[in-house]
Amino acid sequence: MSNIEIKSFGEILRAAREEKNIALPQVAETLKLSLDIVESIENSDLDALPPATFTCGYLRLFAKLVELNESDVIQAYYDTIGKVPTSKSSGLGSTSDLPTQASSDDLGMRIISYSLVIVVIALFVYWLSDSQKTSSSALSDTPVEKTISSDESTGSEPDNNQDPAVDSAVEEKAELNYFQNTNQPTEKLAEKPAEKQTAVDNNGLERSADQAENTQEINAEEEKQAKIIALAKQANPVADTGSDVLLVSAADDCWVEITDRNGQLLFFSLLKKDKTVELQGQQPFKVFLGKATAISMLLNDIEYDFSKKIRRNQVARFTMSMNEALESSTAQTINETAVSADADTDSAAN
Amino acid sequence: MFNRLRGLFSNDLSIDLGTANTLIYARGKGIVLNEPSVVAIRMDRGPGGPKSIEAYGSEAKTMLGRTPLNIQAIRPMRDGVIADFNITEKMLQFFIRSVHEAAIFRPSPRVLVCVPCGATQVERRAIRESAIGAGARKVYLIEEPMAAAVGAGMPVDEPRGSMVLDIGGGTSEVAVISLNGIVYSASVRIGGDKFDEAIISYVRRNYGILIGEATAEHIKHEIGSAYPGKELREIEVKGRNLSEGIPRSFTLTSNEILEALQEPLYGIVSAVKTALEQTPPELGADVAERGIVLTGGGALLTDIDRLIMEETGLPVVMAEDPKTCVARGGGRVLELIDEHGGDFLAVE
Repeated sequence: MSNIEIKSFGEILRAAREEKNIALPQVAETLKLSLDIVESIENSDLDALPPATFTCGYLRLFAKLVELNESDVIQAYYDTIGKVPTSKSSGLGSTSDLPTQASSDDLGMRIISYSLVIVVIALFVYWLSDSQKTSSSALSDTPVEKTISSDESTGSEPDNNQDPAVDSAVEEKAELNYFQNTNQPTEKLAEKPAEKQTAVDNNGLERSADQAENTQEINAEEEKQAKIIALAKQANPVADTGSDVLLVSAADDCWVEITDRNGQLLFFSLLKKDKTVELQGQQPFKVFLGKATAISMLLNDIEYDFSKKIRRNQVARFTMSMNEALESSTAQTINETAVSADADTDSAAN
Repeated sequence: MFNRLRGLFSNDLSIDLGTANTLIYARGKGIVLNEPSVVAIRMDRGPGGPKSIEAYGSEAKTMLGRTPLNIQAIRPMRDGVIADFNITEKMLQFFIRSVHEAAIFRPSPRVLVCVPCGATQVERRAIRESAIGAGARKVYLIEEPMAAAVGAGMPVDEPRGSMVLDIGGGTSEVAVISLNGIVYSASVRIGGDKFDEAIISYVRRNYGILIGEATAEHIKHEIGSAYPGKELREIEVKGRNLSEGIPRSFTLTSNEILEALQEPLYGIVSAVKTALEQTPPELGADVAERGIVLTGGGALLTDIDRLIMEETGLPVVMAEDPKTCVARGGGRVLELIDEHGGDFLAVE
């Protein structure tokens, strides 16, 4: 049997045929093949043979005729074409080399899509925890830090204009200024914006022109802190008792849902046109308004500006706290003061 | 919308939805499923009651002809096309799911399904719809002899005629292929089932004994042949004697089965002869030089290659692993679709 491995398929078949004493034309006749093909089979002449599918079929028939084991001959044939570089098995039929490539490709795609899903989930979880954090940080008592950071986004002048090496003298001056500056507008915050502006104008005129720009900017920031402190002081008496007063008035029929810090439902019904309700509870309040444009709110007598939170369909859903109420009201006033101060410096320079 | 995402978790499948067996070739994995196309249905509260699926595949096949009143074993495919739409859909759905065992999502693969070239538009539409109903994202149809030729490794892309004869469970298809296209094709509704029926009627006529389909199939596998062989084989089978009404045992020989199979075999041979007559002469010459390739489960009938060889005078070769040729060819075509576009696909 060891001979078979050395021999090519043609030699195996020829040996078997000669042993059986069958003539070559007779083989061709029985297999309905042309004599050429039978000869090239016996010579193992791969170039003269048709593609593997046909040749294998011929070899099987030949092997059956000479009573050889079909699989041995086929194996010998595959061994031969495995050695020959111009292998004919590379045609359409052989799919053996493709699957591994396809599966690795498939695996890559799978890993990518699985990781995408994981990233999406991670982002979602992060967003959830982040939104919880912001609501809890609204609860915490660090109003100064918060306002400064929000100031950077809402402030009228970008910070990079500011000279990094501001003299300490300038700062001192600025502090002085803002004490003069701020008290007035804070008191008249909600009621009289026009008066406020004149007060600032007066202060601006007092300053020397060369320092005006720097001090104005620093003022804008620090003013706000001071205002907040002042406002917080105003509001504190109420906050200390642990219950806040929320005044909701409607210019039109509007659905209102308000829940306080403990999740207690304070208000859950339709607020009729021109009606006002007074609610008591602990901030922050969770508010849902059906027609938010028709609603105005006063939290501990401070007007709460939620116009940015109104969605396109007039629905608003937000959490309101004292800090936010202060921010929203101070942000407005500071914008105004900053603009007017700019105008002052311009006029002074002229 | 999620189909594309789900598609990432699904394999491309090539399905040989045959009358007798359904084979699924998953791209990159090979043949992943080979089950008989049989579904057993349980009808609760007697016939006509609410239906539920009792078993699929080989489990259901063992129930064929052995069911109580409330269970019905059905072969939803007949003659290569869908005979029972809903059951076919359920069966396909089950098979597609069972090759995606590890999937989290409901699988939504691209599917290539083979249709007999003689199938009408309505029959093709039915196959397409049932594959979509079974959860396929996209369905391609391909004519069976084309897939068989590709699966057998024939040089279908060459300007050279290749003739393929695919003998399936319900139909036999003969086609001449050149340059990735079918030049001539014919489909006869003769296949493994017809062989079984012929054996049943032969036994009934000559022995007065009734045997079931499963027994007939067993006889065919054991001693069936298409050409007189040197040795005479025998098998002992049992069936109900029609005159006595009592089960009896008797012996059949391979020559008797050969005689029984003459009629369906002659149908196939004449289809091949007609195809050769209709083939353009240049392609006919190519076929004469290289021969006819046999695929399909019917090609496993002993000496069927010999019969066709003697009848036509042309070389006839058996494809390697003839039963899976169509499914493998379909899988190869799926790969080629991605590379070149749908040259091979059947028009609906």
